[in-house]
Amino acid sequence: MGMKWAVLGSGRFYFWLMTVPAVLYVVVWRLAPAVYTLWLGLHTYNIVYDNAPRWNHLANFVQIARDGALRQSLGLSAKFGLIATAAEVLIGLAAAMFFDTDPPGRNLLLGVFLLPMIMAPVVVGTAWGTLFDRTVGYIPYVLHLLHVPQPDWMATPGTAMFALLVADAWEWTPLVTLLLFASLQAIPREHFEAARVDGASGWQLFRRIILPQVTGMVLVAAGLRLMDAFLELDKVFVMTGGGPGSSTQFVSMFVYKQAFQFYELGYASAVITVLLAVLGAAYWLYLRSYYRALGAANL
Amino acid sequence: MDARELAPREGEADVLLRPAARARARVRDRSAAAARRARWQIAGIIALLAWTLPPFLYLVMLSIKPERILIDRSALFFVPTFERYTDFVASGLAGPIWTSLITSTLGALGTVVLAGLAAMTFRFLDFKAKTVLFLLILLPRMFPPVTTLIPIQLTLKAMGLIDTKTALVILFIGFEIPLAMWVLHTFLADVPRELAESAALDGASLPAIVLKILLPLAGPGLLAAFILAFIFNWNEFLFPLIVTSFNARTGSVAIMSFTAGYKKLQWGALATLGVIMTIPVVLFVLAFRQSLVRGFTAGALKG
Amino acid sequence: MLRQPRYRVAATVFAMLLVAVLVTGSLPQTSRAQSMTTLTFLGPDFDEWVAFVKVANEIGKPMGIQIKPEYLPWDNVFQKALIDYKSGVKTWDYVYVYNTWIPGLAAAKAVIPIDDLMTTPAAKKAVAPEDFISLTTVGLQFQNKLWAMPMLAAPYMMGYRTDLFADPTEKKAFQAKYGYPLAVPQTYKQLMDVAQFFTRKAGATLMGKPLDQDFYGVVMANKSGGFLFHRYEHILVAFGGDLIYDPKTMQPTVNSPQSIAAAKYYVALHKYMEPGSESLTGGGAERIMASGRGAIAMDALDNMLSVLPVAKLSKIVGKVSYTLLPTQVASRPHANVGDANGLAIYALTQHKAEAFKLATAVLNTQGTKQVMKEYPALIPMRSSVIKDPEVRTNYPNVFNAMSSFINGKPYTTFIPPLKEWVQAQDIYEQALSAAMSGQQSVEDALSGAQAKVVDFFKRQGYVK
Repeated sequence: MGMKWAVLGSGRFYFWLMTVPAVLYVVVWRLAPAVYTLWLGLHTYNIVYDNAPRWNHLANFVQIARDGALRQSLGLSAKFGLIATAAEVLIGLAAAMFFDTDPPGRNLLLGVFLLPMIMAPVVVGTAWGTLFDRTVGYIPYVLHLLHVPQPDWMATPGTAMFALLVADAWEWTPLVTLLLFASLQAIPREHFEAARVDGASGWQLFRRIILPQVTGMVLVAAGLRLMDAFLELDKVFVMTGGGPGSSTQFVSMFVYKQAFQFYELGYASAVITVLLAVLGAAYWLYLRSYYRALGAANL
Repeated sequence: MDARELAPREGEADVLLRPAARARARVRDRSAAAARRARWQIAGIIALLAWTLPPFLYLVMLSIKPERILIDRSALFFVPTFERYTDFVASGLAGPIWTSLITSTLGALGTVVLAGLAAMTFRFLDFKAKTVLFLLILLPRMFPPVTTLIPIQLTLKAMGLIDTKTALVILFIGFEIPLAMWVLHTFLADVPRELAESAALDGASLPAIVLKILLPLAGPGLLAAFILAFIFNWNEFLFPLIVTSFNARTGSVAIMSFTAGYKKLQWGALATLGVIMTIPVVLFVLAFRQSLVRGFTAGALKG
Repeated sequence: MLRQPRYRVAATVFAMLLVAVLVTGSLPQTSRAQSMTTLTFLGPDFDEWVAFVKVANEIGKPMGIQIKPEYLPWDNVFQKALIDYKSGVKTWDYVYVYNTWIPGLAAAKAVIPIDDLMTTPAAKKAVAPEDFISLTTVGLQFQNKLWAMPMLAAPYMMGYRTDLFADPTEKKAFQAKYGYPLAVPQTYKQLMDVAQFFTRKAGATLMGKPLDQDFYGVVMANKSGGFLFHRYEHILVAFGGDLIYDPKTMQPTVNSPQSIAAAKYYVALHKYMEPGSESLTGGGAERIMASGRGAIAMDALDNMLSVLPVAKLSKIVGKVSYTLLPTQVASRPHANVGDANGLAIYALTQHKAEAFKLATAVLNTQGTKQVMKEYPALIPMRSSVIKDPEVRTNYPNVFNAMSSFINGKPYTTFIPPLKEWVQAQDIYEQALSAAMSGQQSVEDALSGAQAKVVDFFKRQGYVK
């Protein structure tokens, strides 16, 4: 058990000193605007044409319930988020384990490996969008040279999503790798040595030593990525614009259009509120199981 | 050298039981294993590079390819043109990039300091509102900030901070506190609570515990959080776009003004700017890679 | 202690911080000459505006006025102008405007109409409104006022490969296949035939020589998010359809017979376009045309002119000519939807008089000619410039194209100033995109879109 509040005594002052800045910051610059957004969801507010928000009761939410396009967007975003996260965790774990084996030039390699994460998302989107482009891209060109039959990547609904997933995996696997690598590095080497001397196979090493240690961080990384991939905007915007049809119209594109093309901030706020509710519920469950997992590890 | 050669043959079983022979066998085993390991590692390195580098190299290639043959895919060998880079230097984009550098660094520093303190406190104290407060801090990360542009702009204007680097730093610090706290919280999971507890029982004050015990052990986490916060700040586009005009323009906004738009998508220019925006951060990471990795591996030293 | 890595990192970071603070503090403030007024301009980083700023600074120097531009991505110009105005930010003097933004900016009162500044006969003379080519400037007018100084018109036209259409081998083959002589398409039926005829895979012959890459009949930019509809709307209008709704009754006509016919045509034409057109914006499509891979391009004239005749960018310099869009319905010859760009004066400007003075000086006849020298693809909106003999000789492309445009009297319409236009367009565009990618049939897609638009209009109170 952690230290109790009562034990602190004069330490209480320091406690406040240490937490208040962060909390205050978040309250002012993140929470307050968030509350504002919630409030705005109850109004109609077209920032071009309206001078001020107009109260419209729950009309926005009624509209959301009837909005088939929004439902479709939620489904697409969820699909994208789940697949992208799964791919990134798998590849990231493999890469992290590889780095953990201390290959030659590991530091340099790690630095280079972080490259995709460092690039601006818009640049990543443009690079991959161009690579997959039928007319000017190298991927169709090489496949064509190899006489491999291929669809029009960016113009076919299923493969457009695939192209986005590839771009996302490329961009964010380094993040997962970084976190998992740090976590792996915390495992004392002696554990591995001892297990190997006892004749443990690679798979057993993985299951008994690596996996328990890494589980906590996998959950953190997966949680982060799932949230971010669900809200992915930049790459979609640049690569497909939501098309073909509406097959890559992610929820973020939907909100972006509402806010920045239609200028309906009221409706956009209401949608964001709904998003928050959905994500919040998912994360409540996630954090509960996370704390349980951590708690079990700590005992 | 394979296992068959090491298996006991008829009549040789007792030979292998002799210590010297066993020692030689062990050495052969280890070097065979080492050779296999080296091959796997080389394969791994190649796989990693093949996965990471091609899109970036593609951008570099685009940035020096002459416009006329830009989209001729078969033209892989050509006389490169560095015109786009000289244009960049001449166009005064150095200013925005410098602004990005300063604001991203200061923002990330502030984030790590504030989040670090708070995370450490959360980790080691139990108090009633803990889970709620934690959730409250994490939730805002889920809000796409689009709808908050106007109120934030108005607040900044009231503070007289429109178009200043200070405004950017303030915003950046706030944006990444949730992320930093989340990451740090998990790193701190590796630090046993008993350390802090016993120190407290011995009468150490809270700041002493934090500075002397927790901080050194949380090093890797702090570094990771700093790097992540820096990168997110560096690529932040929407808020700098709205909040700044001339004085505090960031590199990410400057880059975007060269691209998309409904008329003239210039692949070459975009590639150039993509390369330029990425290089400083890459150099930064490469320069600090020793410390970076050592920071991560410091955790391995704990017994 | 200093050998320990984390302290080294900390020390370096601290040092960087120190340096940063010092540098920030000591950066010299750009000094302004006492007599110079500096005007700020918020606009996109397009060549024509870079040229404008350059010429404006040349013209402004003796007047004691200079311009400092802030270039942003095109979409963001409107957003920033709007948000800055709403938050009371006074930074700007000039703002770039596109014709579809005018209703919004006017409603928000974020810019000052030019009419409000033409209060004296001298001011009126400086603007010379009678000199504007009304075909092009009507897009910048709203509620009977002109809201921006016209700068660049962007009529949609066809750019075609003159060498292809003149080639004897191709002419013979075309006559044999279609039964009429090969010529620049005057009707959409002819366009379809020509596009089909010239779409060839790598290895086939073109003008007697084998192709090393695929060749396409028509090159267009079809990216979702406005580009697709922007290209398609001309065909919609040409086929007799409304721009989404009938302005007299406010009734949406998304699945009217004309609209369905136009969409079907476009989906069929799509077969002869460059694949991947769905991810291309204007510049990308023109690059493809410029690398010699298309027979015809349909795009804004200034887009084409800024790429196709430029030696550095294009492989087909001198081989392209421009003509009006084809005709479908006889009552709408060479139908097109107009496009206009202008310079507006920000409502919270601190230098109203100077801004007006410089704007009228740069965008009058003489100033426009100067801008054209810097940017030859500029399509002026003043008839005096088009008729100028210098322009005629130095910019034959622009002259010919604009002359044919003015003389040909094409049926030109503009996007209606509807507050909810972007939403309605978005619904239609998604349906069209779904039909193009084969997800739905044209009828189904458009019927679905019609239902959505009707529902939307009901909610906005336009229909019962």
